[in-house]
Amino acid sequence: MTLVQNRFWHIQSGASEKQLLDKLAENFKVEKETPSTIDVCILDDPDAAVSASGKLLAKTGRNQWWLYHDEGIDKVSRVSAKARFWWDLPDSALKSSLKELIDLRAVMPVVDISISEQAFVTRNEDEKIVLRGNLTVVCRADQPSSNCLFVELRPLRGYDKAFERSVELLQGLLDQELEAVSMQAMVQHCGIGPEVAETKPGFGIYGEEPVELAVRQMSLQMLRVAKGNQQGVVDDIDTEFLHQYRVSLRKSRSLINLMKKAFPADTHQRLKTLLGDLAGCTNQLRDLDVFLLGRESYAQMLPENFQAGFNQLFRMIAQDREKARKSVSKVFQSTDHANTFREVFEILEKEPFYENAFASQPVLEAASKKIIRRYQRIVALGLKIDDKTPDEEVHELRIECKKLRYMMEFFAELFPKKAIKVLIKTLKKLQTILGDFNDYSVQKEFLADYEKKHKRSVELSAAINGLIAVLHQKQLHERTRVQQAFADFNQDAVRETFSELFSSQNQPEAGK
Amino acid sequence: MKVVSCYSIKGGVGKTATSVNMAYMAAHEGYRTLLIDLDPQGASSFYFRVKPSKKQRGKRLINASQSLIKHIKASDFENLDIVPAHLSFRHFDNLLGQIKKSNNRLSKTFSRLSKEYDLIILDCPPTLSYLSEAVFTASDVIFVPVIPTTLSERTYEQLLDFFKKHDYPKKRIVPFFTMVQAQKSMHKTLMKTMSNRYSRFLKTRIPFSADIENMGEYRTPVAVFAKHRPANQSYISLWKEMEKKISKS
Repeated sequence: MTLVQNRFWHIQSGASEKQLLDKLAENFKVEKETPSTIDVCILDDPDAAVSASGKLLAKTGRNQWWLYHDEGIDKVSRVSAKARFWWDLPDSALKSSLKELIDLRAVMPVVDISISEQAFVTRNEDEKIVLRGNLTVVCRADQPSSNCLFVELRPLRGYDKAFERSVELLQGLLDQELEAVSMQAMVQHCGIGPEVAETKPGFGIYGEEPVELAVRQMSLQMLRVAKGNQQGVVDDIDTEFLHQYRVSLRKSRSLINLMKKAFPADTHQRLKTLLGDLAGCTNQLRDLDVFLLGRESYAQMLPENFQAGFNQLFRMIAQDREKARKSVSKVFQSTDHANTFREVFEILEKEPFYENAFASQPVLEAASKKIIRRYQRIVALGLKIDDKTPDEEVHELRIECKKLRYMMEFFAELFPKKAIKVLIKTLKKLQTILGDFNDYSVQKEFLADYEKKHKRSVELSAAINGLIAVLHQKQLHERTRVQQAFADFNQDAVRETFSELFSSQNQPEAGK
Repeated sequence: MKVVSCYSIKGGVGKTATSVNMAYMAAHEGYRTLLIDLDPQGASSFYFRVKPSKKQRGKRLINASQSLIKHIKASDFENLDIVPAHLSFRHFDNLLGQIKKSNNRLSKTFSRLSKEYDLIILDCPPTLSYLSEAVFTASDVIFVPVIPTTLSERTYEQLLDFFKKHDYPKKRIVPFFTMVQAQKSMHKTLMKTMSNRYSRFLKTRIPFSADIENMGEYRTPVAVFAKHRPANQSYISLWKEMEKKISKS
């Protein structure tokens, strides 16, 4: 029923709760209520996705998880002590929110904090309560002295004067006023929460930059990300570490291949080999991860009576996955692997050679030419495809689309933001269909291969063959959509935008 | 939003004590409650330690409902706000006349009230005036405290007659006995005859109690300083009966 807004301040460091209440006591009778303290452990995923969204996830004693957000706190109890993923939680609002926030990532403890609250009221000469307030002390559990003090003042309807007077009395002790009264705001203000990295899109390249310099710079940036994800794989935190490792490697390898003339031939060849080595050792583990993550959708493909074989299949794959992870982990910790990484960095950190004209060309010009050529190749390939075209040609189209997508994403910052975003979105639609078509065929192969190697039981073979049959049907269905998907992509408007953005005679300015 | 009033033609029958304790219990159970003190003596405002703002007092008010909203004050209890006694009767006539009408220029203000509150309790002065008539129109339920004495019986009958004569719906009237002294034979006899004659009497009887008188000293509802005493128990059971009547109205 309060119409006036609560206000909320961080108190100057050094000022104590007592000083604050004594100040108010100059004008009012101050009454303290029973204080309370809780200890919580702040959790977040490796990207601090929860904190980045303005929320705060905390684990309190007795297996409770709390999610602080702008509208209040979602709580869920009886959470297993081992829970790390959203799917480990009991069904609840918190579980759904977390699914949106962290997807496949795991949450890990970030910091233990202690939160003490002291509510108080102030009364006027009639002993009427004229203001309610709350003092909160937040500190790291391991550094109790480094506490942060906050005060919340809640005006009562009809007692605005008392509120104004209270703010006046406290003026000398107040530091910064915070917008919202929330745990996430307090923790963030104290600087003890999960660190949210400021992500700048792009590589920081510019249009006039010579190709070789730009490509070196971009590759290095992606490879640093790959390297940074290794420890998460070794610690087996979640499957995303490996995925990010592979994505970063794949992208840098693609960049180097797509712009291969940027380097002297032997340098390019060496890089290609080294990057292949870095990625190759993880293929099997990623295949197994992907298969395990798809468990729910696979489960829906088979009828009840295949369950025994299905469960057996997943148990076996989980065991294989564990073996594969251990072996990857071993590789990641080996000297050979570290040496490979070191050699890659050494090569890329060298001064550019500028061996040919392409290497010293402005990158905007070079990228534009390549993109338009890729686009034209896709159109030529796509036009040939009908329902009878062999699968190999569909795969070729998919690969070309992927290369074009990479090129556009690599150099996106050099072109007008909006226009390139629209093009990428259009291309994505086509890629989704081509990608699904391909994924079904990869999954079929994976299963067929698995069946050959593990002839254990009739049930297992039945489950595997059942899945292969369903996947095959799905693949056939996806195949029928390819022609239309390409027609949707191959439109005049798209052609015009490609030509506007990437034709050398009309180079646009970036960033618009 | 429901509007209920605590009304009696006769003074000193425990209207204010009832309003204050009813408001406290309703708020305590989660009803967002607004207690409007219509009695210029301001007893319920006094019990809640609320004074009208100095600035607003005596000002000529053009729009009564807006002025009412300006006068709302938070009590010391969650979910309970108070409008202290301050407005002239004339303005309240006007105001209460508007509560039940929806298509008028004040409807916005009232829709705001109905968004903010579940229950409005009117503590009325002991008169039969234009103001009381406005109260009769505006209220969904009119709770009438009756002391089991001959004089009180007479004023209760006068009220019923008034309702009949002016065609107000009698079923809004819900009487109950207060200041009951069980050892007095007159109280016992009167309660028996009146309960037989008027079936609408609530079952709960509020005893004559020092605890209720002490409200003036503590300046809080009985539940705050005499939670486990019989007086509070009787208000609890009275509120339970009232709550049923309110939700049915």
